[in-house]
Amino acid sequence: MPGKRRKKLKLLNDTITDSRRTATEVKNEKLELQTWSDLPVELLELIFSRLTLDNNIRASAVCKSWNSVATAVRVLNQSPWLMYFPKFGDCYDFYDPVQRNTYSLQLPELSGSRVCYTKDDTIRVSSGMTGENKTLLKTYGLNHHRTSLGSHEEF
Amino acid sequence: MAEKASESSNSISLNTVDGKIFKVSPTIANQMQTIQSLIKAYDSSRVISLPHVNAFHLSKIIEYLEGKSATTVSAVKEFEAQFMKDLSLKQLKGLLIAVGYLKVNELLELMPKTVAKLIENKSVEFLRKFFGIVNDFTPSEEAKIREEIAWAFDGVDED
Repeated sequence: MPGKRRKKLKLLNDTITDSRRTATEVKNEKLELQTWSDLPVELLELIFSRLTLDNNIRASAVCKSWNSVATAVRVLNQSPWLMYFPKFGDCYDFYDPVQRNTYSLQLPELSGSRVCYTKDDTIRVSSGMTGENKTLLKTYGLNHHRTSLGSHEEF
Repeated sequence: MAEKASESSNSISLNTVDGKIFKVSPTIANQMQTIQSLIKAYDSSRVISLPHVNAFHLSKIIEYLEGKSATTVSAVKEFEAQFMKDLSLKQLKGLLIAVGYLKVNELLELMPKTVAKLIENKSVEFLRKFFGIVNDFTPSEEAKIREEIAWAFDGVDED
């Protein structure tokens, strides 16, 4: 017991003599300990705003803080993409003229429907010959990401 | 480089978090916006304390600001490339934070560009491992993100 107390006292003593040095060390260590996920938002914004859309999206899936910044800086006025309609099947191609990339999306819900028009972030399609069951396809924005074409709601 | 700058009478003293004093010329100091506004606000003969910057980071920033004054565009490019290459990932992060705090505009261009290059065409798993980031999504949250934007997850480099 007494031995233990002595040890504790010694430790306390060490702490006191070292306090000046440790204060700056702790501060310094705090700087070092900051991780890539808790970098200041302004810095993450500068990084993510330089990413192309697909890289931005992958970064947004890394962790929550990257997600909020990456979604915040996604470019809203990207040039429009071309949408290709398949002769058969339900695989639609989207061509990004800026990156010269083609992306494919399976959209079985578009089967048998015709596109009426597109406006801002929606594509309006009518399904069936009668033109009934008009559906608004919500996208991330036709002038933008058009990524979640899968989710739609009744018009 | 600090010695050289101290010869000039109107040099500015900067005190880093680990207690090192740097003397820099006004030309260098004014390229750090935070310092520039502090000089304007206070007497420039005073030592300016930098609570978020350590000696390594400040010496790197000064090295950059002195080095990028090369004569030709290609020489600057070469210098910048070497400057970034010499940094470890950990140093890159620390320096980026210091640069953000001191508002060194040119490095706020160059450094995010360098980090963005590291992110390009990499899988999510690779990015977590590379940057040492813990996945704080619940499995269902992550599944939702991946499902919504599945097309973006193809065509990455091999980890």
